Amino acid sequence: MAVYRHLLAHHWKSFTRSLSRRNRWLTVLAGGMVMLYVTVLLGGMGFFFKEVFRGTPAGIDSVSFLNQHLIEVLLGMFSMRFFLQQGPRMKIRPYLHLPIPRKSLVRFYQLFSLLSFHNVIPYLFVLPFWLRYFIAGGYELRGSLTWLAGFTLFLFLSHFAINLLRTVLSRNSLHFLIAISAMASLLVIDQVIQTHFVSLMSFVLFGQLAAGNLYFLGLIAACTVSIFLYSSAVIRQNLRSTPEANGSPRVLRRAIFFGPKRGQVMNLIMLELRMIWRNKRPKHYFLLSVVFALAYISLMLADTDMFQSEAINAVIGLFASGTFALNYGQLMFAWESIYFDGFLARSIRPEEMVLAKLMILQGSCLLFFLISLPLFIWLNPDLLLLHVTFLFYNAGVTSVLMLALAVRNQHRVDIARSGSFFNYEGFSLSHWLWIVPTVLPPAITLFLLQNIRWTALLFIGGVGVASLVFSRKWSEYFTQQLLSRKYQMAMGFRKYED
Amino acid sequence: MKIEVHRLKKHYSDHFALDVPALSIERGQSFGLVGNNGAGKTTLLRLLLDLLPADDGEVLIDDEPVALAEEWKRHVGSYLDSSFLLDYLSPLEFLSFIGSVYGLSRPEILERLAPFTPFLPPGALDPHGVLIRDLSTGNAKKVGIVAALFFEPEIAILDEPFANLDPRSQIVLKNLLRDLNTKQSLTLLISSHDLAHITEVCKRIAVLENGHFIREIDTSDETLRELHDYFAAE
Repeated sequence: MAVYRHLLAHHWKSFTRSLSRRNRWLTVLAGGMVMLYVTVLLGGMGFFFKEVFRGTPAGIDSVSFLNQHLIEVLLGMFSMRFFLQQGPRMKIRPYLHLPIPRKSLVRFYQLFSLLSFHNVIPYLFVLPFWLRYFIAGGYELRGSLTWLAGFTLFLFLSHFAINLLRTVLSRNSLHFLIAISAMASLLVIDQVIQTHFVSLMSFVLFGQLAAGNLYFLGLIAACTVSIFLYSSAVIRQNLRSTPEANGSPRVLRRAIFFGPKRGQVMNLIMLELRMIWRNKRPKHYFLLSVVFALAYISLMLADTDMFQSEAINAVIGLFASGTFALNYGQLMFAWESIYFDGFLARSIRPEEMVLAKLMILQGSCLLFFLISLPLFIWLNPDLLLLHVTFLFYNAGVTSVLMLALAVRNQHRVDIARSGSFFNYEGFSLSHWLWIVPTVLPPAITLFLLQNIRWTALLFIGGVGVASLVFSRKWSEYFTQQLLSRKYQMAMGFRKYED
Repeated sequence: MKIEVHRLKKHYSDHFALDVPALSIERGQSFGLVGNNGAGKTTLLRLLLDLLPADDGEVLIDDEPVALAEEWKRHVGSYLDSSFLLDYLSPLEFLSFIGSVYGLSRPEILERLAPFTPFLPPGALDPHGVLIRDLSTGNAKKVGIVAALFFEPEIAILDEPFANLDPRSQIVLKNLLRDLNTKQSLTLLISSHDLAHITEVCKRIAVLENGHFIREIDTSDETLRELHDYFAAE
C-alpha cells in the first residue's frame, strides 16, 4: 500500500505542477468552451434522445433502440480511443529500476489509466439518458443499476483491451494487423450481408442487463477482469524489452545514395519517407492509417443508414483520403525534433524543407484516396464524387492546416525513445482543437447545401483546388513562419518530456 | 573566413548563461574552449551556429550576421551532439545526404571521404552497412564528425569531439584536425574537457567560467600544466 501511496503522491504533484505551468489562457479558454459545448451537446442528445432520434422504428422504445446500437457505438469509440488513449507503459518506465514488484506497478498503472477523459465522455450522454429513460421512465431500480454497471464494465473492458492491443502492436505489428483486419472484415461482412449479428448481440446483452439479469452482469465482469489480468501480464512481459529498441540491428540490402541530381526537395522527401519507414512510431502511424482507411471507412460505408446525414459523409470523405495527413501532419518537424539542430546548422534551405513536407502531405492524400477507392466503388458508389471532392479538399486545405499546426508545435517527439505507439508525447490541447476547423467547414457546407449537393461538392472541391494552385505561396508563407519560430521550436525540441 | 563576436549576451529564463564582450577568430586559427560543466561552452557554440537567439550583441561570419544570413552555412561544418546525426540512415546514406546538401556528386563525395576512412568505423562506407543508431556512441560520433569535415568547409565547430572515442580514434582525430588546420587552413573552434588533446590541436585557448572568458592563452609547452594548475586550484 505504501508503494501505491507514493505513486499517487507523485502523480498528484505532477498534476498540480502541470496546472501551475499552464500559461496559454486562450487555449485553455477555447478548450473549456469546446468541453462545455460537448457536454451540452451530448447531454442534450442523451436527455432528448426520443426527440432527437425521431427515426426510431415504430414499436421500439428508446432504451431498446439504444441497446440495439450500443455495441456498434462502443466499437466506433474503440477505434478512436485506440489512437488517443494514453497507455500505462510510459509512466511505468521511471520506476522499473526500483525494488517495486512489476506486477504491482503494472496493475496500479492499468487502474490509474482509467482516470481518462475518454472514460468520462460517454457518461455525458449516458447519464442524462439513464436518468430520463430508466429512473424517470419506469424501469425497476435493479434493472437500471445493472444496465449502468454493465455499461461501465463494458467501457473498462474496451479500455484494457486497447492497452492490450497497443502492447501487441509494439511487440509484433504483423500479428496486430492480422487481428485487427480479421475483426474489421467480420464486422464489414456482418453489415454487408445484413446478418446484423452485432446489433442482435447488443440488443440481447443490454436488454438482459436492463431486465436486471445479474448473470449477464457477472459475464461482462468476468470478461473485464480477464482482459485486465491478461493485458497486465502482456504489458509486464513487454517491459523486459528495451524501449529504445526498433528491432535488432539491421543490415541494409542496399544503401540509398542521395545526390544533387534529384534536387534538394526530392532528397528531403526521400529522407522523410525513410524516417517514417525506419522508425517504429511514424511507421505505425502509417500502417494504422492504412487499416483505418480500409477497415473504419468500409464499416462506415457498409452502414447505409448513416448516409442520411451529410455531416457523417463529410467525416467519411475527410478521413478516407486525409487520415494520414491528419494523424502524421500535425507532428511534422516534431518527428524530426531530435535532429532539428542538425537541420538548422546545415545549408538546407528552409523553403525546400517546407515544400518537401507539403508535398508529402499532399502525396499521402492521393495515396490514401487510391487505397480507399475500391471500397467506395464496391460498397457505396454514390459517394464516389464525394471521395474525389475530398481528395482535393484534403490535398489543398487539410494539408495546409496540418502544416500550420506543425510549425506551431514546440514539443519534442522522440521517435527512437518512444516504446509505445501513442502516448500524447508532442501533442497539446491545441492539436485536438485544430480538428474542429478542419472538419466543420465541409460538414457545415454539406449540411446547409444538402438540397443542392452538387453545388456543395463543387464548392468544397473548388476550395481545395484553389488552395492547391497556391501551394508555392503556402510554402513561402510557412517558410516565414518556420524562420520566425525556429528558436522556440529548437528550444522546445531539446527538452525531454515524460 | 573569420568569426567575430560583439557584445554577445545570453540569459535563459531563470539564469545568466553567457557574456562575451568581443571575440575574433581569424581564418586558419585553431581556437579551443575549456571550462567546467555549465560554463557556457555549448551555449556559445549554439549562438555561433544560430541555434539560439542572442539577448544582445551579434555573431558575424565573414562580416555577415549569422542570424540574418544563410550563406555562411555553406562554409561551416559543425557537430555539437547526436542531434546532428540522422540515425535512421546508414553512415554512407547520411554522408551522401550531407554531401548532396553541399552540392557534391557521388564521385566527389566518395573522393572526399577517402582521407577520413581510417577514422570512420569499419564498414561505414559499405552499401550494405548497418544504421547509425545500431553503432556504438563513439562510432556514431565519428560519423558525425566526418560529416562536419569531409565537404571541405572553411570553418569547423566541434563540441567535445574527443569524448566517447577510443584512444586510437582520439589520436587519429587529433592528427586529422591538425592536418586540416595546417594544410587546408581550416579554421577550428573546439570545446573540450580533454586538456591534453586540446592543447595539442589548438594554438589559442580560452577558459570559460560562469559565462565569462577568464583568460586566453597562446599555447606553448607550458599550457597544459598551466591549465591543469588552474582547474586543480579551483
